[in-house]
Amino acid sequence: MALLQISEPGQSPAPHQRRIAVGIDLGTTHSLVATVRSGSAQTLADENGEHLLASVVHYSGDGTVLVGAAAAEFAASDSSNTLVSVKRHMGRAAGDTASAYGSGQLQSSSGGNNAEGSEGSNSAEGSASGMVKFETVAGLISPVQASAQILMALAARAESALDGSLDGAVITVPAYFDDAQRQATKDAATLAGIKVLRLLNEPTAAAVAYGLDQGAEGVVAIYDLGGGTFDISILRLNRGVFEVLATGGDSALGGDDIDRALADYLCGQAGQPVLDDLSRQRQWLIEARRVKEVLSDSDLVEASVDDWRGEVSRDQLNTLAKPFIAKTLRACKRALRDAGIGKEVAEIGNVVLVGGSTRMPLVRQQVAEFFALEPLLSIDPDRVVAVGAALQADVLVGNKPGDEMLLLDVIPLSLGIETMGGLTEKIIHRNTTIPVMRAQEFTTFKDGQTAMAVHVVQGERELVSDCRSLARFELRGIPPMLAGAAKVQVSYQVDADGLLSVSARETATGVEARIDVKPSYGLDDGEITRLLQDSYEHAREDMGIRALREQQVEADRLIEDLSAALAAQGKALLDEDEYHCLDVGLQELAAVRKNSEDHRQLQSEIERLAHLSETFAARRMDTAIKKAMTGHRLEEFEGPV
Amino acid sequence: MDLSSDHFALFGLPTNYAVDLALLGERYRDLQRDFHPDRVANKSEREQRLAVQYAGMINAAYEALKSPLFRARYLLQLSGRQDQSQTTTIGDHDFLFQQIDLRERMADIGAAPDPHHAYSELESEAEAKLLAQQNLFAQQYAAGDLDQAEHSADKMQFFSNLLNQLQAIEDTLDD
Repeated sequence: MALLQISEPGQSPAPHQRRIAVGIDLGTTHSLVATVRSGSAQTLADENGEHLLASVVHYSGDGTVLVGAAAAEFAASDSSNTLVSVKRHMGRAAGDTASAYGSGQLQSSSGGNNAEGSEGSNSAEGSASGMVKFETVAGLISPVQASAQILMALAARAESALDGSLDGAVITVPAYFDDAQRQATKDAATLAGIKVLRLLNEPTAAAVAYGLDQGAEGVVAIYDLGGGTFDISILRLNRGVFEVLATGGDSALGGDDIDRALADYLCGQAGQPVLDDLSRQRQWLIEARRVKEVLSDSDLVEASVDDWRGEVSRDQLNTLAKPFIAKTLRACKRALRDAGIGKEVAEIGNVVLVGGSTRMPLVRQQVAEFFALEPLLSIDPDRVVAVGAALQADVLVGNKPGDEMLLLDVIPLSLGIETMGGLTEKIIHRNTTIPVMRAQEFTTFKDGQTAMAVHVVQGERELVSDCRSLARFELRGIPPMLAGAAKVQVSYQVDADGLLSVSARETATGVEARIDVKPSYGLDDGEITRLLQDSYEHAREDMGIRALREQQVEADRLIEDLSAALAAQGKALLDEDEYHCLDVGLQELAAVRKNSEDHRQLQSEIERLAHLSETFAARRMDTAIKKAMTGHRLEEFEGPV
Repeated sequence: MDLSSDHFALFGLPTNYAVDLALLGERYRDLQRDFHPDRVANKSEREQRLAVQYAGMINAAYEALKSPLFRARYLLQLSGRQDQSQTTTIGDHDFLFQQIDLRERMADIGAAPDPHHAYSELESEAEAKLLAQQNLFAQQYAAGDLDQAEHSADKMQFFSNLLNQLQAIEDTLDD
């Protein structure tokens, strides 16, 4: 877990000590970790000099878990215990992914009763909480757990390369990931014991890597075609501010789909019947991927599986790939329109290609044609996302005070609520800049109605059944009134990670019935706690000690922040009583921080002081905003009119 | 402080329908440079939560001024007019016939020989009408004729809704 170095009680950590922060690109086919060293961001290699970690996890009966190339060796031979492309299942129910894979010739070896058509994927079944799980010799494994293994492997790599424990990580997600997929990614990090500084959209990360590298200004398009996801983001770069104007994509479209189409084609050529065996499917898929990759550099390649030999030309591959690429270009058109530059493609100054699948010559050619621009490729498309994430992590962890860089991102899909008749009412529209809060008022439709069901959904479609269901809850305790008299305010808040929380309260009577909901997917909090406990028992670490350290870090931060703020503005913004009260509170927290070994006690002290200081914090913010406002008024008086 | 009290003051701009969008964008970015949660990512949770609130309010203010329709509504609200757009009825018959015509043509796009062409034609027409309505609003608002300005804002809403629906139709043309 990311911990600040624990200083002696009562002492804060040295202010400008360099903290260890990394950027992690958790990809469908492979993952990377990068960090900023001596001023430049670089990806970190494993002991064999490999930067890419295959996103493959292998489970054995004896409890051994392998990640990366070692796991990939079992992909065909021990396929049911080797999980690949789990990113496709993050935050997804068992049925969700089936349609996205299309009906191919290769069928899933459905061990359970779940006839999911995800080719080359392990047999999966839905868990109680909805998310898909895979049957392995080590039991049912969720995509979150498998992703946590990949994250742990990367964190271990970083800690050994950087010779210290991680203070935090920026983890990238496809821009088009919905709330469930983002939450699942954050859960995986929690499970891996990594402090998430920010979930960052992959194309935005790539823009950061390019923007800072080339000092670019103006509008750029980031075309990101990975193994399993496609994103298009349109950004405006302006003196260190990266403002996302619009994003679009498909969270189930990528190079994997082309591999499958090619595997189907190869099977057809070989006169193979429908394959119902997972390890046979994997064999053909592995060969298809190899063929695809070779065809990026040559026009013709020999293919062989078992006794079968054949040839594939680049033209044949292109024919198979074209429909997928056409789909990405339609998303590009939509994103341009949403960014408000639909008819002005010429406004785009640069197009950046990201993701391994953009190595295909056809992708490059079609993207160049669409934007009428030669795309930029100067940074390795496999590494550019991790590099951008590392740059952001370095800023967020506090290693670059005074840095001008700022990322303003958007939500990719509209957030709405179910209204009468199963219709969606949008509360926050797609491509709205985050963070964002929005409230809408609803009322009762029956006399004496005392409860109201709130169903939170995400998507663009009008019917609730066509959108993703994120959470359901009931607001109870509404005083009985005539229909239409109650006023229920439903508030949505999306934070800087793109994660949603929802609350509802009745406002007409002043009787407050309030509920806060944070949608969580796949793993509920209890399940996370249990898994964490299991992993600690495994590692023989004491959960209590870790919780205490976390609270100590938080206490140190609060003491440091508040002492500094009191010294700077306390006298100006607080009256004597208020000042005294906070001063005493600070000393009390410092005393508990020094003497207590009980993380719960420390936590409640932190909460108490944080609560006491709320007014002060709000006044400081107000002062800062007023100052900012006065700032530009002065300019107006002084500057030329 | 209630940030929503005056968005124009927040960005240091005169309270006016005509807005220098480049300047607005610059002021917006300056504010976010100071208040965005990324600025306090390493501070206590309480500070981070507060930053989310402030950055959210700044985003909302920016959105309200950036869009010509929202800006018109906001100016009317500052002048003490309640937003009646959900329940409003328009008594202007020519306008209503024009809307019916536009909507009928929108419904026919899918069946047109070249749907993409039909789409762009209708879109350009609706955009031009929206722009004309915005100019009218600016004149009425400047002249202090709030009743007429309110009607213009309602009409802008119609065109804006039409354009949104048109885009939804365009999204389905290719799929």
